[in-house]
Amino acid sequence: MIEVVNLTKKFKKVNAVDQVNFYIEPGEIVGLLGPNGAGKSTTITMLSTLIPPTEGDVFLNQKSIIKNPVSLRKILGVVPQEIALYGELTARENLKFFGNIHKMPKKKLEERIEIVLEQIGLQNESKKKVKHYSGGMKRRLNIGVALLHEPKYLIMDEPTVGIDPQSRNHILETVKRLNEEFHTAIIYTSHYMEEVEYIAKRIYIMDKGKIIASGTKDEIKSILSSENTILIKLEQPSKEFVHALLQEPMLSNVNVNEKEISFTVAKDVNFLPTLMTLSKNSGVRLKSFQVEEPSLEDVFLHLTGRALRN
Amino acid sequence: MIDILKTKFLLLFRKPVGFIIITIIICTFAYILGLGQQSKIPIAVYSDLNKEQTETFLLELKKIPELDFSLYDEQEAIDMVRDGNADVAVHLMEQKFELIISPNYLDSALLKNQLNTIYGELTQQQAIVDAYDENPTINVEEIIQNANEQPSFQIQYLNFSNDEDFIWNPKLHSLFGFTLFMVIYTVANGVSHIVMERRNFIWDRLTISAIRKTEVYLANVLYCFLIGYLQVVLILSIFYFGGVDFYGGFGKTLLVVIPYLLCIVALTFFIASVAGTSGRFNAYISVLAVPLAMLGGAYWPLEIVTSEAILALSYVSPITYGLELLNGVTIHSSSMNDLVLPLGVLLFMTIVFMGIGINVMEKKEQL
Repeated sequence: MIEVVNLTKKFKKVNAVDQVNFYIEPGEIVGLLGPNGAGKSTTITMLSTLIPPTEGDVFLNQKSIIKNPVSLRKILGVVPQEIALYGELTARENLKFFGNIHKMPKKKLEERIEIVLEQIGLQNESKKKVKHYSGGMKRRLNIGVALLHEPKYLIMDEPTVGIDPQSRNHILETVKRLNEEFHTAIIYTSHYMEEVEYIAKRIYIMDKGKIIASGTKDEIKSILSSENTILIKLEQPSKEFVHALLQEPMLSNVNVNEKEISFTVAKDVNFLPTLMTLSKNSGVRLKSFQVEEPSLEDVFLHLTGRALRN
Repeated sequence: MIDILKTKFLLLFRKPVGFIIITIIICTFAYILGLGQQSKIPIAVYSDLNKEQTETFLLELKKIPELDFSLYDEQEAIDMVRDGNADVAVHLMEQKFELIISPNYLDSALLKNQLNTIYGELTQQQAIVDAYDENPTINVEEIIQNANEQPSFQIQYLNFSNDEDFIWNPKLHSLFGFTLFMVIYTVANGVSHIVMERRNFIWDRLTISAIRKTEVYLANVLYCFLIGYLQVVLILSIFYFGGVDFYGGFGKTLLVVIPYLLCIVALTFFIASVAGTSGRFNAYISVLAVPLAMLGGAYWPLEIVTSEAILALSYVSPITYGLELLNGVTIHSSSMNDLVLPLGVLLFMTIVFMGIGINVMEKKEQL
């Protein structure tokens, strides 16, 4: 098990990561969710033993990896956010190089290259130079490189940034398969809450360097269990109607997107008659009215007052 | 370490354009500025000697390959120097000569030496002819030949360099100067890989791999050194086998260039550590390489520089010491003792730049 205890990183006077605590058990997938600049990447850079923390420690089976990083490095795979590959080399050459620097025996490496190419679905493209790959193929190879030495723990830093939906699905399925078939423990960071919701069993939500919520999906969503999220669609945008909603004391987290408006309201309040009155007074026709289950996005909005992807 | 080296060379073979272009540029410039100086320097001659003696002198003077001697009236010859049409006018007289030299002409010491030799030989021949002129049974030509082959005195110039005069070979100077200057770009190109690898997180993958950080640095230092060395060996060999005279020191040039290249690798590491990004690194190299070449005497010999400030600054340029070493093992035939100082300075610079460079890189990585 990896435990992160009071991990803190200060850059001059800014606390990029502030007293972060979390853990990951062998074979589980943990999601680290937060907007850009929340401190996710700095946290996992410390966890990867690339930079030392200002305070706190990371323990692997109760032994500090700050003092002895080699023990973790042997069983850790890291998928950086950037494409850390040689564009002039083919996929196979890249895999061979990165396998060699892990000092893998030649025969074992050859076997692993074939397995990894199959896992990431690039067997037929393995002799093509990486610079000619699409964004999605590069991302897949970026993951493949981290899998070569069969790590027990895999850290993935926003592995689906800037790729098409098809490649994104492929990556998410690969992550799930790795976990299910090989019991690889995965720390998956993202600002896409639907990805984290899909693959992670436990989730940590980070903002401004701190963990602001943690638990299983249901535990986190229960934060909003006393509230409903209402989504309404208007026939045309109306400033007067929005103003009236904002003045209404029983509503919170009002979010306006032209003709679509969402807000939260206590479950025990029957808001429908008030809504009808407000629309009538503002001269606005409602196209639809929907009560939604709270999402992680709603939780984040509730906790920070900001949307996840702002 | 070997795997990193192999991959770096594989990348070089996949994209060799930069290396090839720099090699061609060095060869072209060295040829144009050195070997290409085939046009002879015009020298105006006027004479107090009789026609026969003047022609004899002119015949001898024309044997000097890089100078073009032409006979003029006294006034014409002086006017040519004054108007800049000739760098030197030679006034031939009985037993001696005079030189009228323009301030731009740098080889006056060499020319004086050549003229002294010719005067000595011709005066000796004339003395022999005069001595045996009235005895038709004696073969004068045979006596002159014997005198040339077995002179009464043998004068050998072991070293005629001093504070005022210096020896330089424009062909070698251009070759050495441009090679040492342009190889900076080749080495920098190697170091720029490190900057890029750090930016796109390949360096992070290396850091958390099973190989030690010292091996990563060592492989990169070795690669940058080897591509620079390969280029220098290639260029010097082309010119050596193309007929340039290295004064018997070709093998030694390939040895003494090693400390210079190590120093350049260290310097570019230091610049990379300060620059951080690839764009800034390239900008710093472009801004620094040319002044280093100018101060180090790659374009012109430092011996002709009169500014105290520039001469003082020349001590900070590795090219100064690189040229000292290369000239030392070729035209100066210097002893090991003479080379200790430039060797020492280059090694000192290497240690300082590499030490600071790697430390700054590591510090930045921790931030």
